[in-house]
Amino acid sequence: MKCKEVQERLSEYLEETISPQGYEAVKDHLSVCPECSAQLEILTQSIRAVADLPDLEPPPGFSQKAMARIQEEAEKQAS
Amino acid sequence: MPYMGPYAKLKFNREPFWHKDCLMNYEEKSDMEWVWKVQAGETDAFEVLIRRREKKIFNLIYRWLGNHDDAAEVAQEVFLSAYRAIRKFRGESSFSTWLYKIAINHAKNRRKSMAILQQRTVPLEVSDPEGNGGPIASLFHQGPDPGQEAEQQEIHERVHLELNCLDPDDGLLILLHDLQNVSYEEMSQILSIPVGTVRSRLHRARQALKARLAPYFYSKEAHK
Repeated sequence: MKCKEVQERLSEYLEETISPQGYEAVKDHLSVCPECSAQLEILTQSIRAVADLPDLEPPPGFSQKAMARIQEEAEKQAS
Repeated sequence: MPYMGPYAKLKFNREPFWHKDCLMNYEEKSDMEWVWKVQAGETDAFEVLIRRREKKIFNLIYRWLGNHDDAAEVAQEVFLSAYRAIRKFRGESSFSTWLYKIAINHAKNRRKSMAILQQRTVPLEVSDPEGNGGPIASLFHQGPDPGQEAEQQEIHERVHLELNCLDPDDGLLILLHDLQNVSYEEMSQILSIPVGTVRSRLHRARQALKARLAPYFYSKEAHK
């Protein structure tokens, strides 16, 4: 397997959604190719960095504000 | 009486509906049971559905639009639209999937209008509440090591920025799967594309993000 092909399959390799033969081929290649191993590390860091993005709280009173608009809507629909 | 935010006196000079109903009841009932209540005319029951989903929806939109104020406004529109359409919801998908669809449609429209109005060279200008004094800033003052905190914050800012420079569809796939842990099957329903296509597009999207972040991660390694 060539570097280009390996690098295109790294995401699948990480998720193990690749075929068993494909998985072994990528694994074998990674064990001897520092460039592709570095690419795998960068991909892993990228995915982790997204997963680690903190959740923001919605602005204070978000649901109350939404409900106020919805109540108005409901009243309009009723009248 | 719990804090109800600055809008409490607009219309809701009362305790939230779900407090009145009792907390156990609130937690035990499925989304669909609350949907049925709303469909039966109990408008207040919609508040439970908002509270259950507001954080996810707000964060998805915020990360996709890159702007806190726009995200707050669009998320409000999402829940209003969901309420308007709820009588048509029959539970063919989960409430969450249905709501995600509405959210993505609204956010897509907002992206378009932002792009037209602002005509920026970078897809969208990214507001940065994680930066100086934004709503998230306090999260970063709990750790013991200020150097590590600053590094984490820098990574968050960089990732937030690069996500917004991706093709919007690529950014959305990454946000749904890698940030919000939405399964391939649910993504397939939300985006109306086959599971295999979701997978292959996500892998491609991750490659695009990796390419954008690689110089940053390499430079960090070099400085270690």
